Amino acid sequence: MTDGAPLLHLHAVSKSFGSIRALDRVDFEVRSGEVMALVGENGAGKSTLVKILAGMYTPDEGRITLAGEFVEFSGATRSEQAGIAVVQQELSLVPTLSIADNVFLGDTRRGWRAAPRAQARAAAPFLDQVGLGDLDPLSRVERLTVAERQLIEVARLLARDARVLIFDEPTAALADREIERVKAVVRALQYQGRSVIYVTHRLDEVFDLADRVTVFRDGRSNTPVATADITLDDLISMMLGGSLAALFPDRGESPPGEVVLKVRDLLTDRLAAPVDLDVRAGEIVGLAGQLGSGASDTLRAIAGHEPRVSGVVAVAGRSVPSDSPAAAIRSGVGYSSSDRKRDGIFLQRPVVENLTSPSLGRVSTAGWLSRRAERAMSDRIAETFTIDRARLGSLAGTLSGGNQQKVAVGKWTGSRPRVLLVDEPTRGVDVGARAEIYSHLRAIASDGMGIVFASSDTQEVLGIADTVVTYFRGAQVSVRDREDTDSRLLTHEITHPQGAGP
Amino acid sequence: MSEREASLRGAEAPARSVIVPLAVVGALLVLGVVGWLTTPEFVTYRNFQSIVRAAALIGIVAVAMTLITIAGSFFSLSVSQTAAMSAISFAAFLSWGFPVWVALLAVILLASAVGFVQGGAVALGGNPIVVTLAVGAVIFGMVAWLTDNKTVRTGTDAAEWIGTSRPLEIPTQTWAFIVITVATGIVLTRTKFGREVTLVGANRSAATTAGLRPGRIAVYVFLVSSLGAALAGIFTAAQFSQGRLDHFDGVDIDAIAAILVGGAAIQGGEGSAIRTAIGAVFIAALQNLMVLRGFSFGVRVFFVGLAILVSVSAFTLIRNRRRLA
Repeated sequence: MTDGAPLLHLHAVSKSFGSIRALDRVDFEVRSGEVMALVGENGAGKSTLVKILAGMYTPDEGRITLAGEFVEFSGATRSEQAGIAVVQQELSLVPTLSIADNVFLGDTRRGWRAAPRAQARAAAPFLDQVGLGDLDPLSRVERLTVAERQLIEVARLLARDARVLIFDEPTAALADREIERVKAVVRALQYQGRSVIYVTHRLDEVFDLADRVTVFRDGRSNTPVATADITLDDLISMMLGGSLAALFPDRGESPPGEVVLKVRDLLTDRLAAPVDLDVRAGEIVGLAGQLGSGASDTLRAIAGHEPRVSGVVAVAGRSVPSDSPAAAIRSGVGYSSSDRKRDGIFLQRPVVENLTSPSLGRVSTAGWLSRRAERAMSDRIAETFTIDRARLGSLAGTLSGGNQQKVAVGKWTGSRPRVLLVDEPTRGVDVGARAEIYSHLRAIASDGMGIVFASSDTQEVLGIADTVVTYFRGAQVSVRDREDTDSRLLTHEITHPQGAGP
Repeated sequence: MSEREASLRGAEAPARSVIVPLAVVGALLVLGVVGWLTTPEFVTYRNFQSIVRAAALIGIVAVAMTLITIAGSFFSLSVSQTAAMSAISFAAFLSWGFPVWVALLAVILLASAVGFVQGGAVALGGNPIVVTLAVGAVIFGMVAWLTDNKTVRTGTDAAEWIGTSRPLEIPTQTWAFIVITVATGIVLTRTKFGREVTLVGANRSAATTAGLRPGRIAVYVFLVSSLGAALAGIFTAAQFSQGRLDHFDGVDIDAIAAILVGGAAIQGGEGSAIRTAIGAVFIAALQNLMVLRGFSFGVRVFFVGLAILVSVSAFTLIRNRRRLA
């Protein structure tokens, strides 16, 4: 299906921002009809490359050829005319317009408002190609799921006859079933002979979809390798200079202590069946489940972010009131959400203020903040969570995703909760920062905190949890010691538990 | 965004903390120079005093309202009505023969009630603009109804010192303006409450997750704003020995202009008492200069509107550039 000559070829492309070299003589190519995966940690230069291809950045040096001819992209329109299109991470559809209108959005070849019927007929073939043929092209986009919207976006690019499609982390916000739809479309595009550049943090997708993979590291590119020739461990080594085992810390030596969090018959509107949970000091409990499985909802209900219908939650023997995050914190519960930008950090405030935000009482006396106490607390957290102390005064929004996540989780160590709940500890975080976050979680557990995390990443659950609780459609499936489960069983239990073992 | 781009922006971050204050002070200086070059009367000592007095009135209201803006509740559109209500009730209590301290206490209680109602409505999820607009109308209507739209005279000079005395050659209003600015500045930067106000405005959901209570904060900031407006009302009533409903027309727009010229972020999470105070001086000086130049009412409103537009656009651009590098 793929022939030798690259369709799109970047030769020794460099791009600097001030004194920082984001891309350093990078080579990159994609053949026609090929799916090329692009992986690397945050800061490796992936986003910069995507933006150059999208025409948002102009390279400082280097050449780009498309089908053997030199091209220059300045501005998104030029790049689209050349047949290169980026499926945006941040969706760029208009929710209140119809599907058909969105497919032809911004297409200057059509009138600004074609007849709806004609528009719908014209859109149909493109919708078919992305597996949305059964949708009414005249219905509004706002009713669609995130995955469907993403596919509409792809249909829009197909309507422009894009030859090279760039998917920039398309599955980061999707549930498993929806991920499959996106993957199916990528395969179909390849079958049509189009080229796909697939940027992702999910390494299983690389092997699932891509013919070849290019690893970026520190602004430099590796020679592309065929995915058939390498293993997952090889890939991680290429990204990290370490192996999968190095991603996860050693398990704690000391046996867990007394029960710090006890949950009995907890029920919320989003749970299908009551939930029980026991977490001991020093223990890391992983709640494994897909989006909507109830794992996150359990954490949210314990932390007071979701009303409880019934059930008891107790920390160190004392009951935790329902429906009040402030009361839960006073009872010794810390909670880091799955969406740090929404409610995990203050992007426009300095890192110091973020780190002390849950513990303002501890850094103030009679209502007066102590700069010294604040500095001391944030220094301590920064040291524990390997956050650059020189950046403590910077706005949190200027940190990388991984460092933001360290702030979102690390801030809780300041108030010394008995139990720390972490929803998706490493979503949108690169491999290097993931390894750090895992080891920090293990370290604070060893200090005597009980940790519960919810995750849809089975690797992560098996890698750091001592006890694994599986969830499916709003109910718990099983509670097992880490030793008593494996990747197969876990995946089985969180996807279709009927007929699974005890 | 990538780590490299991120660290690049981090490197630029310190610069940002001086751009906004410099822009605010710069605007005031430019206005001063323009006034000096075009209008000789603008730079006399007498005129300076009248600017300072007008600035004090706008400034007290604006600095107190800044907390609302920083807390993410935009503005209060009921401050002129609250000030008018306070002026009239202060005058009324004095006219009924109550001692000054009773009149003061009564006005403070009344204004607190107004602030509490607005803060409570916002805490329950009300849109601050709509809530304060409605409360402003209710207050205005009620006072107009009760006073039959007439001026209320104090009938005594017992409180005149509040509005006219000049300790150390500086009018009491100006002292109050300075004290309130400094106190609000200290509260915002040095106290737990001030930090909570800022964090709630910066990201309400994240603040809730961190255990803060945005509803309580809303009640407090509207309380403070109401008390600021009441103080402005008391000073004016004491100065003129009377309370009038139309005495504070335009104070709300001037106060909002002061906050915005001072560079507070409209969406909350950032702002400063000192910068708002400078903004108030700017607006007062601008109004004064325009009156001296004989500009008509319409032209003056036009320029205040323009000042808001320019500052909002400029500060938004500065912030976006910072965010996008």
